[in-house]
Amino acid sequence: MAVTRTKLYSVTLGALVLGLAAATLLDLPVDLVEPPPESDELIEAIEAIKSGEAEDEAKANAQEPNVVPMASPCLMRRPRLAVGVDRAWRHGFAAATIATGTTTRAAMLDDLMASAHVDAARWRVDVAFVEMALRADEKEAALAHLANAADRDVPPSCRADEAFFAALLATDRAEAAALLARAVEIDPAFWSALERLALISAEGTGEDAQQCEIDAVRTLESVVQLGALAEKDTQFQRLNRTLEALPANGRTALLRGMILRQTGEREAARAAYQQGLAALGPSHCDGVLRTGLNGMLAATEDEQ
Amino acid sequence: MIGLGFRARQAGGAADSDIGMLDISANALAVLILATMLVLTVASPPTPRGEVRSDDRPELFYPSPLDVAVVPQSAYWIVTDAGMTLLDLDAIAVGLVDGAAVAATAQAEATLTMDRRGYRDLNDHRMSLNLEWGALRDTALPITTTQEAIDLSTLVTDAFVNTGQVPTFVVTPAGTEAFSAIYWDLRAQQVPTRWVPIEERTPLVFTRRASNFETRSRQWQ
Repeated sequence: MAVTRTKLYSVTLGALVLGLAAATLLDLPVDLVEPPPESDELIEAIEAIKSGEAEDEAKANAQEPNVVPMASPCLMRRPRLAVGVDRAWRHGFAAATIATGTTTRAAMLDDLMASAHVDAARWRVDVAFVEMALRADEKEAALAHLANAADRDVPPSCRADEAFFAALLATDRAEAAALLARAVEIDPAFWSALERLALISAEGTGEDAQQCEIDAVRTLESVVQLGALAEKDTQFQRLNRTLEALPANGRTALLRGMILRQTGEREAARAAYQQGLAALGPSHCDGVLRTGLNGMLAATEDEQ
Repeated sequence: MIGLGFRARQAGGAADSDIGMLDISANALAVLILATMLVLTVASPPTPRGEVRSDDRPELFYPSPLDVAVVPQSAYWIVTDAGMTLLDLDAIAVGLVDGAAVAATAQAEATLTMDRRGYRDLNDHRMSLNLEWGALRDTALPITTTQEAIDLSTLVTDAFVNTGQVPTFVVTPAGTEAFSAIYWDLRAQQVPTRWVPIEERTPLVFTRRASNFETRSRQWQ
């Protein structure tokens, strides 16, 4: 009788242990069952930073003569894009942009559009209208003026401004990031587009591994380019301040670390990467970020 | 050697004892100076007058609610001892748009200068305003009472909330004190604000050129 009872206890205990083990397995997140996918693009981006290749490329983009990266639009950012525009017309256009009342300004811009002789001038009036519509939060009007601007014959770097405005109007974050990436591809010395791309990438445009990898690569590349364009560390202030308002996670830690590294704070950057690693979970996206953060930790190990 | 020295002083008489007294007072003075310096260094420095105590400061918002991707529409307020006056830039623009280099309104005489060739953006310019201080004072909205200050900051706040218009204050030395009440109120209301000081004898200059983007601070308070 005693033996049977002991047997019964053993069997019950065994079943319980097995049951618990099964329950633990069932509770496991699906992500842990599969290994995180290989991320070549991210590894390549980190290797380029390690070897100095990324910085060299960014410096080459920044060293074009007379580029003012923080200026907008393209005509202000780069020299001699709209030569030969009549001084009297420019005088009128300056007066129109001095006007603060939207009705007065719109009426003046309409007249200027009618009297413009070259496409660059027409494009600039389109942009002035886009800016007005953006300020007034009139999306349809902004898109209409943006479509007009796209039809004008202007230098290629002005297309970057169009993509930038389109990104401001985009409702989807992934779409906005893609447009900003295009703006940066067209004009790599476009500070506002780079700054915004870095922020949107840190906020994240998707949770799947592939999108996470794209975001991480964009974060790395845009900050390296911003670093090459910056003349003072204070230029990162706005980016850093906006970043403060975002939740602390792996993505934002990567951006925070990159900004610190770019401003010469190597130890603080490494601490940011470490904090980011500590905040990561088991998801695929976090797996990609782990690769990124670990990669940057390794890349900053030997830096001075 | 010590013995010799002792004997020499003994032989000196009254003159030597005077020198001894002098030594003692000099040393005492040195000790006093050292003690005073020590007290000055160790004791806490007095609080400077006019310092704002930390608990008096309103809570500052952060980051700025202003997205500077597109430069915001500004309203320019001139602050004098009589109060604040909204600068009518529309009237000035209307006077300039047809090609006139100089335009005069009740508030100011404006001179718009365009570069002949060395321009980048098509609206690069320099506009110098000689303000009519008398007219500005006559039309100023007074900021003498607390209620007036509250009303004016509400007016500015509403313009920001409803139409996204951000204020820039051009403040004369005499208007600084009255302006401070509005300034802190606007900070508390989270309205992005800029302000610049001005002397009445100097013109108010507006510029748009590439160098603005190289040096301009993109911070709004």
